[in-house]
Amino acid sequence: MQEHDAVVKRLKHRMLDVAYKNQVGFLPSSFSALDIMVALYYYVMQEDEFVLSKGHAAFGLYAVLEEQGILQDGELETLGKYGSRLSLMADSRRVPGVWFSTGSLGHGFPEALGLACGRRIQKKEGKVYVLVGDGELHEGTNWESFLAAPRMGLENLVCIIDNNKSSNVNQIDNYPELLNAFGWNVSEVDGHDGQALFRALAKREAAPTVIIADTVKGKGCKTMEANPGLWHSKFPTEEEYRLLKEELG
Amino acid sequence: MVSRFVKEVSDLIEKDPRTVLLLSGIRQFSFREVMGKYPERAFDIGIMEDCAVSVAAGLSASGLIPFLHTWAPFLVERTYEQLKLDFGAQGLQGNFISAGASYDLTDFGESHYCPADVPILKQIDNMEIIVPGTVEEFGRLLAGAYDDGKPTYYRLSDRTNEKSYEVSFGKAVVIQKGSRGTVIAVGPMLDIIAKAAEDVDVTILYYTTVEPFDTDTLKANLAGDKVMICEPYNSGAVLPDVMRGLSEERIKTECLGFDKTEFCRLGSYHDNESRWGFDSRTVRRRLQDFLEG
Repeated sequence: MQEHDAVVKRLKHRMLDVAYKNQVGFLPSSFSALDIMVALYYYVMQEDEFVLSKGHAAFGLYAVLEEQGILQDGELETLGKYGSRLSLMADSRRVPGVWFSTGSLGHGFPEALGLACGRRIQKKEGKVYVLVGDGELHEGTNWESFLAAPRMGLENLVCIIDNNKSSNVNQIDNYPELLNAFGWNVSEVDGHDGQALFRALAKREAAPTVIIADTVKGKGCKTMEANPGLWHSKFPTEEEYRLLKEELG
Repeated sequence: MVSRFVKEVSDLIEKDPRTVLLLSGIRQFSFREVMGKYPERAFDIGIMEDCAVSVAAGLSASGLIPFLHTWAPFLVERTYEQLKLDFGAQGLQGNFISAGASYDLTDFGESHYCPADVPILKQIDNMEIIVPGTVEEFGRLLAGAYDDGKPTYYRLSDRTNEKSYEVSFGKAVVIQKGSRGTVIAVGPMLDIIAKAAEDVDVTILYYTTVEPFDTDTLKANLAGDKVMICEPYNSGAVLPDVMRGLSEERIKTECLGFDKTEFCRLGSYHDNESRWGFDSRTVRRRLQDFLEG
């Protein structure tokens, strides 16, 4: 999966350039989730759909959508600018390839349940992949969704937890036991290992599947990895930009 | 009332394969027939209203037409952000049918009262609001709005009018023509108003859709310079619509409905209605005072 790693690195460089030029943030959330989104869009998804529930990683999703040709070439450079369709939290009515507007946490996951249920009723092939953050899991609607999906028999639903340990409170260290008890198929994966992600995401199971992806907030830039709280929504100064680019390699 | 409402919705589920009914922890027994016949398209998702609204949004995005039914405070107030973002802001279509209205469950206490549903829903982009006066009217209004591409709230109440009218979505009905003033009666308020104004020289307009508000019928039938608005929830929800519609007129208004400081003293609806002023004698007196004032 050298190609996977090269894609991820290329997209991160592109995001750093835009973050510096446009003075916009939310890099660490996107950097933790980018391997997952690249694995899905470049290698796994065919007749499938993707829902980004952790809206704070929209920057990363846009980078993927731009390179995939779903957004216009160069459009990422309009991020946050007056008149752009790219807001820091994605808007489903403006951005092609975005199923639901997210940013208020805990909306995308239950919406993905509805999308999966609707696809099943209409006998459509493929799966619905939904990406949630571990911090987002503080919101109660996610646990309502964990409860409801197996009982709705949504075998076409895959939830990926971007477990980047973003919160200092309410951390859970026994997801497998917990989510097994809710009725989900559970697997754990290194969220920055393209090959492992591909294997986990491509599996077909007889119950809704949850993949717990062990990730690092700000992955690839030591400065952000060391201080993810500071960098959560911060944008880089010129000096920091040069440092982050160098760290990314 | 419940059985006729259940039949209206069940018939629609049967007739239109694009429809999906979600219950959130209520009336599973009433809907057992349609749930048994179409288990994929009619089911109880459980007591999780926030999740249910978002699931409905997902169903809508997939191309289906969701219906969600539960008690008014849990359908509207608990889920307000889901309704605002998932439906209002995204412009998805869906149907939200509440039970319990303002104070139908008088003896339950504060948790099951919802006199603010219509005023707060009017703040949500794209939201349509229907307040039928009878179950027959609900059926007609449902048929006209359920697949119109927008989120629609249907407010059902135990208290209904005796007579049904040929209502249609978005249109007010002229009940009585007069010259001294205009009375706007919303949904189940019509019977009280009609009785109170039986021999009073006023025009009565009957509204079963309050969003969008039919200003054309109001403007075309305005009588005198006084407009009394009678609503079965917190008063004044349609007042901004009336003022906008009549912006070129000099009018005086009076709003009848619940006041935010009012509360239900348990007992039955009947025990409370004269204190609320929701009886024809009180309304008649207020109307006459308003016309003469």
